[in-house]
Amino acid sequence: MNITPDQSILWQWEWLHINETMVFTWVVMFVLVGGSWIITRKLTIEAEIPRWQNLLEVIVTTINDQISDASGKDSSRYLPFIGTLFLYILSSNLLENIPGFVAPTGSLSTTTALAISVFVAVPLFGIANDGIGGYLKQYIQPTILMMPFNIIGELTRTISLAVRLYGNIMSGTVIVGILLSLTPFFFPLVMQLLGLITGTVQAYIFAMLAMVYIASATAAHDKTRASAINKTKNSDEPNKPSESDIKPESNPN
Amino acid sequence: MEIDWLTVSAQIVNFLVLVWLLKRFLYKPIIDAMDRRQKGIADNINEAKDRDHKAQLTMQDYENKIAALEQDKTKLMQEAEAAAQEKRLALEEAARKDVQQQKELWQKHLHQEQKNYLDDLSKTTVKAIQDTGRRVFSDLSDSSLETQIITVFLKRLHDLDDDLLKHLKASTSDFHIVSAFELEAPMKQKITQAIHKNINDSANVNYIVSSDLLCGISLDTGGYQVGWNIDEYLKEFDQRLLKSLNYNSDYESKTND
Repeated sequence: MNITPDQSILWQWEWLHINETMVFTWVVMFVLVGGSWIITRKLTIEAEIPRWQNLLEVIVTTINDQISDASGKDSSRYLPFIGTLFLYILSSNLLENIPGFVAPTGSLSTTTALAISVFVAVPLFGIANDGIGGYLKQYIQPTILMMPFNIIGELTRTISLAVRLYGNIMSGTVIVGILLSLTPFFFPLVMQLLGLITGTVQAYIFAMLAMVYIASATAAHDKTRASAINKTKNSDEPNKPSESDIKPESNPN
Repeated sequence: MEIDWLTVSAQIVNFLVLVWLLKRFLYKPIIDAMDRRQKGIADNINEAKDRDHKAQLTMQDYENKIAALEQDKTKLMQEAEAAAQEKRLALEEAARKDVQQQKELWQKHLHQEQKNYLDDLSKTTVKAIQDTGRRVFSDLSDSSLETQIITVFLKRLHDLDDDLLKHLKASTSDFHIVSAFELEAPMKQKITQAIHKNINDSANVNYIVSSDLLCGISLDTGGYQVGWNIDEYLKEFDQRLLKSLNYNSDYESKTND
């Protein structure tokens, strides 16, 4: 029994090979992109819209709202990245229930790839938002002594992202496989039903954590900038308490 | 649990390609469509607000016009009522005048008929009196009615009061003897002698027959008159008859005027 689909090599030429993880990723990509293309090529702006268009609008709007709630920022910049994370992981996890389909998210390579993408995206969004100096300044907050811990925090949260998703999906697959050999009729079905919930929740958790990391990378600088502005104001009005004094943890946005 | 870094690299590329493809085929078209629809809805709402505003203005305009029409209607009704009242008064006045005219005409006709009746009655009465007088005089004496009238006339010429006699004597005009009947020559001679003897001996006397006197004889000269006429008795008879007919003497005098 293969724990990870990486081990199922379908084609190989010297060191280059194609495994099930890649193939099923392409399947998921084909389903997502093909479905989107079929539905969005005949979009209408009338009052009555097709139900598939309505479904896509609901999905996109819900993701948008979740991003806005988590970040408190303009969601349009983060929508393609966070939305694709969510849809890809969700589709992979749900398609796992189709016999013969192996979820790419059950591969540590896939989750690592996604975690690396987030790991890279966080500073990129932070730099795009605050500039490179503003972004790097958060590593010495609240004091330069914390810089090693901040860097370790960045690395560990990336690893935890990868391992959390991989562990949940892989374990679900493994448990179903084991139960199939022990009690082939009832428990695998229950576990698969549970897998639907687990897969959805994991997709949501991964996407939202990614958003929170990106938001924290941009919000830290915003907080620093807001407190600087408040200090300037307080120097003009010494008797008036600053906003940061009243709500030290509040989001300035 | 091992990581295949080739797979990791391929999955990173796959993920980035998927991001680009979904952005191209999912997020952008859907968000654009929603934005366009939202813009369309906003445009429709604005258009509806504009229409509502225009409708409000139009409604206000029509309400003003209706109020103006109501005012005009009230004014026209008042004018029409005033005109109708004026017309009614005019018609009532015209009807009253018409009735008054009809009444006056009717009364005039009535009085004319009364007068005609009295005239006819007078003539009939005179005729009856004449006939009766003639028969009485022919039965009781040898003289006729005309003879008796002339006798009375001659007596009056003889008994003239001084004032009248003075005026008659002063008259230089001819003396006209007007009688209702033809006088015989002896009678004319007797009357001429009486005038010459009592009034003026050189007076020129003419004799005229006139039916206006009904029954009588008179002397006319210089605006003075002496005579006898049955008309004196008939007037008294008329007064009594009119009184019995409840005749309005005032109206009689008015119509006579």
